[in-house]
Amino acid sequence: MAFVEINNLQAAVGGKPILKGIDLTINPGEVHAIMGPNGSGKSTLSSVLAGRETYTVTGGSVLFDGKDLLDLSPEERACEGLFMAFQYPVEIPGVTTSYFLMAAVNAIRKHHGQEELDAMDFLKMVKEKMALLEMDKTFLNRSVNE
Amino acid sequence: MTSTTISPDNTGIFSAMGPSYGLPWLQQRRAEAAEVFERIGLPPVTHEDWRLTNTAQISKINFSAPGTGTPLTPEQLGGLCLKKLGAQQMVFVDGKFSSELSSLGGKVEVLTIQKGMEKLGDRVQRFLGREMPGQSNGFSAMNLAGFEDGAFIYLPPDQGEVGLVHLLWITASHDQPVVVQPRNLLIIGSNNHITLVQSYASFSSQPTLCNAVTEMVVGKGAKVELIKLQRERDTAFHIANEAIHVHEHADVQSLVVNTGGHLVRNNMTVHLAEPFAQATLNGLTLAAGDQHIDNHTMLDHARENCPSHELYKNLLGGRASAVFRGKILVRPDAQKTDSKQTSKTILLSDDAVMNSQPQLEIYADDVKCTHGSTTGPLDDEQLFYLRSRGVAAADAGALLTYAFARDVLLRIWHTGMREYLEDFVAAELHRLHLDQAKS
Repeated sequence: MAFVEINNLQAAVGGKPILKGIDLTINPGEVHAIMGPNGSGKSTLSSVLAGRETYTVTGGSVLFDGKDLLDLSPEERACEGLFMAFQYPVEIPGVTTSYFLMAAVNAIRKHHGQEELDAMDFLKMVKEKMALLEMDKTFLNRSVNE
Repeated sequence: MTSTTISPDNTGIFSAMGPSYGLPWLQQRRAEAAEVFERIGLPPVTHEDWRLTNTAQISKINFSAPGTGTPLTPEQLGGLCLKKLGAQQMVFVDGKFSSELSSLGGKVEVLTIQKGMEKLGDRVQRFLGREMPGQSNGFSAMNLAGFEDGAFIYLPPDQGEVGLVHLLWITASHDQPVVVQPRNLLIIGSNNHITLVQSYASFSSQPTLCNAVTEMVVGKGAKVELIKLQRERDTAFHIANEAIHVHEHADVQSLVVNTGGHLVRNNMTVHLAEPFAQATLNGLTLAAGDQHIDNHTMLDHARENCPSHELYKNLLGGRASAVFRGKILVRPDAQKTDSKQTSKTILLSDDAVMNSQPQLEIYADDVKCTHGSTTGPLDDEQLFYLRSRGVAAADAGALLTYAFARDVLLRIWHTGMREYLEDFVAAELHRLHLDQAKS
């Protein structure tokens, strides 16, 4: 079964149609790159898939792992495993990266019926991962995307 | 100038003179201030500085002086107490010093003004009313005429790091409206490093008026953090006139946190009187219901090479309204001034109102002065970012609201106070339902 199945997807922003019928099937294990000139709708497609509310879906359907993706809130999509890497990630002053990561990890664990991690366990896990990636520990206390 | 109509009872109480301890100079200053008050009264709403904060409500209430109430127990102080942070703590209940609730031992000699008159009378005489004279406005006149007691600190030079001093003013529960007039006089000698916290709380379900004046002098090379926590009940009227005089190479940082009160006005004046004096003024206001919180700041750059930095933030829900008016005055001698002012507000309801007004007056030609002001709902982009990582919409809103506030708190120098206020602000956001607001 296809992992992502986009059928005749149409979307508009502020009444202006941007996507005019996209079809795309992605099977498990495949990597796809979408290319096109400026204004052709690449960002719009990813935003619509991630659930950004400034875009209105005007037609078509998207199945993600067999579920109707367009029926899910952005946070439900993220918990199901679909999220967007931002071209210009927004800074969130006052939220530390470690607090943000813990909130995200626990939201996803909760969604899957797993027990939430306490601060100690989370910190242990995140420090292991950071050592693996040879990341500087100061990142943890920096504000998100700062 | 016409003054607001004042009921006959209040004229008496508002221009009443406090004790003079047999000191002719004090008697005279009080008499002059009482005269000023009788002439100008409470500031009318037609006065430019007061047009967004109507004090007429205050004149309509029949206030009286608090009698001797039931004394508070240390347990009743609860979270107001900062002794666990190692603070020297001076507590006033209904304007009267409470030795039972205070713990004054430590590196700093913390006196009442009354005691200060006995021990260091010439110093009190020199500084009382110098930074915040009675003529400034009706409230400062009323305070100088009528204040009963207050905190007096005279910290001699070169004491180094002296820790944390907490001045806690509580208005107890009363069955009629009462007025209390705190007065703090803080003289910090050169090369000292001190953290001063003022807390204002009230327990009364009846209207209360707290009319406070704080005067501070920061000596050469001293480093002072002044934190004010206004957490009175929603029955409280709170007016504060604060003035800070900063000497050469001194560095002062002020933070005003407002979470309580029905009508609040903070006037903060900082006088950068000598070269290389530095000031940072921060503010955080959380308001909901019918609260009205007004912060006026005045940064007076008198001399060259002084940096100043200002950040005032407001989180408003319900029908709350807030005012920020930040004046920066750069006098002709204040070349190489580097001043930055920022005011940011998040409106969490359609009925909340913000008035933000930067006011720059620059008379020198080689200066850098910037100001910025933003008011709006929670940032959609930030909300979406958090949601796109799995965080539920309501949690994302609460997280952003807290982060907006915490951004100010992270600037606090004193670690213990920073942690205390992080917890306090989180609890207050919840109490005011500001963590549940939709964007």
